[in-house]
Amino acid sequence: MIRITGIRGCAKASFRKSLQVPLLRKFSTTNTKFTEASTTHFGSKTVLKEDKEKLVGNVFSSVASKYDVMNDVMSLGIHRLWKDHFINKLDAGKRPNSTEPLHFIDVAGGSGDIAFGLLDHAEKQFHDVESTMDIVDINPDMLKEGEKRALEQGKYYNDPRVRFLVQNGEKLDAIESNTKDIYTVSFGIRNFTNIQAGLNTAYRVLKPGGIFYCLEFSKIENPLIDFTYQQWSKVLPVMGSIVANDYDSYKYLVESIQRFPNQETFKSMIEQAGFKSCGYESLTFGVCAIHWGVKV
Amino acid sequence: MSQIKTNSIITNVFNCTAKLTSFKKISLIQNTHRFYHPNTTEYPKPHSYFPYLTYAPDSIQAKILSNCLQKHVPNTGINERSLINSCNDLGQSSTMLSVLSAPSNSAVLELIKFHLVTSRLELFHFASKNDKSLEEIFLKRLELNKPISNQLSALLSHLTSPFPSNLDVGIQELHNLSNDFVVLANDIKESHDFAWYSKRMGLSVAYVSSELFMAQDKSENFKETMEFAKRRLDNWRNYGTMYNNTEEFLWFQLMSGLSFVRSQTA
Repeated sequence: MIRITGIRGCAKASFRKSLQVPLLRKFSTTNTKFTEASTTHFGSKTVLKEDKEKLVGNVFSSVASKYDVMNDVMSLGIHRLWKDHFINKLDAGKRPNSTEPLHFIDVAGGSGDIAFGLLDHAEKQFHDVESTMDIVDINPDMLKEGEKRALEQGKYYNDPRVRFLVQNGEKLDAIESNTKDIYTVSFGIRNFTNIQAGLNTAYRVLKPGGIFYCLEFSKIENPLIDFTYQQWSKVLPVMGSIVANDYDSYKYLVESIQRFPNQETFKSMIEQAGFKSCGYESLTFGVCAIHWGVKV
Repeated sequence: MSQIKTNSIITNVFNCTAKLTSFKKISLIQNTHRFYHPNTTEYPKPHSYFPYLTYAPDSIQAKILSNCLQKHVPNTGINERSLINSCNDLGQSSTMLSVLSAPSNSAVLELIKFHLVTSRLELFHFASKNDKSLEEIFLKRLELNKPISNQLSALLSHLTSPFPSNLDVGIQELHNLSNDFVVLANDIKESHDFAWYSKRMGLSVAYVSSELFMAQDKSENFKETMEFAKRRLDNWRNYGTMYNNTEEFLWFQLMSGLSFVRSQTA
């Protein structure tokens, strides 16, 4: 009798427990969604969402001073061509017979290469010395690197047109809605904890008629070239440890590239944020791609 | 032991289901795989708006471009200046030039593409009202160039300048146009042989030569261009007849030759 009550009591207790914490996997994927919501990927590891920001911060703090060397090593110098093409394709700037100056925002652009490139292009092509630029990065070390570069080149440092802001690209708290004409992000969006939130924020800060322009690593379609590229990726962390004495950061960078969605999936994510007339152009067989979308 | 086995089987089944679901999701999103059966997205109708232009007919891009073609191109020409004037008219900033240049690498090329695609659409509406002959459709397309006739040589030289994107747009649109001529004139006895190409190529040549003539034409209401175009079409028909006759003659000779050889060897 006592035994039976004991079993019943135990059964009741476990039943209650199962109601509170659903331990068993159901056929539907609700539980998986639940776990996915609190964690995210950091390279090949799964980490808590609140930790990813710090971890990515550590990576970029450690590579900030050797950022250029790192990019040159990783892409064999081709990243300069990609960035040049990105700036020329965007072809932005206030035209001589236009009335309004443009307001740029370059997110995750701490090193300033895209931001300065865009301003130089506007000045050289259209004599535009009015448009403004907000250079935004979550990492103060990377921003300092950009400020240092501005100081060294004697341009855009202490310039009222250019602001350096430490901001989380997913929120952009300091940027008001509907204020920007051109939103650029180059090799930065894959480090966002929540890429979709970043895209939604891009949509928020842009004016109607504003354009979202993104340069990011992507997927190679040709299997043979992809195979070669994968072999190259395996060597990169080793190269990183030789050049910058930092194996782990480079390993993270390679893994984050592999985890980033392919061209079509990323395009559909941009569309999901509300952008129209979205498209992309693959560069160097799809090693990276330029994506764009227009806020209507 | 058996429980462990059952568990591993269940896990495998779960994994497979997860893989299948993710595969389905990817294939739905990508839509890049070729299907066994033809589908509507793979072969869009030649006289449709999408996917030749990536923005809707009522979008701001379309408004800027059509305003530019109507008001500024005849006076200012096919260039960035007229596009900026059009942006200023509609209260838009220079950003729109970046927006326009995104799909085809140049805002001016997008302006030309817009003219070509919308003219084809207009041609489709013109032909769908009543049954029109090939000649009527052909001349109507030339008439659609009238508003920008003084800029026609600039348009043609832009399309033929040796940049891959320019040639891509020019040749693709020319092929779509000649295909539209054939389809809209109800001449759709589809031949799956060399005649399919020669028919369209002949029409393309006739159209381009007429347009080149139009760029230099100073006659009233482009009378001479229309006459020239009619002659080109006649030539095209004659060549067609000649092609068919030659084909028939050669085929007959081949068959009779074979029959002769057979009769001799039997």
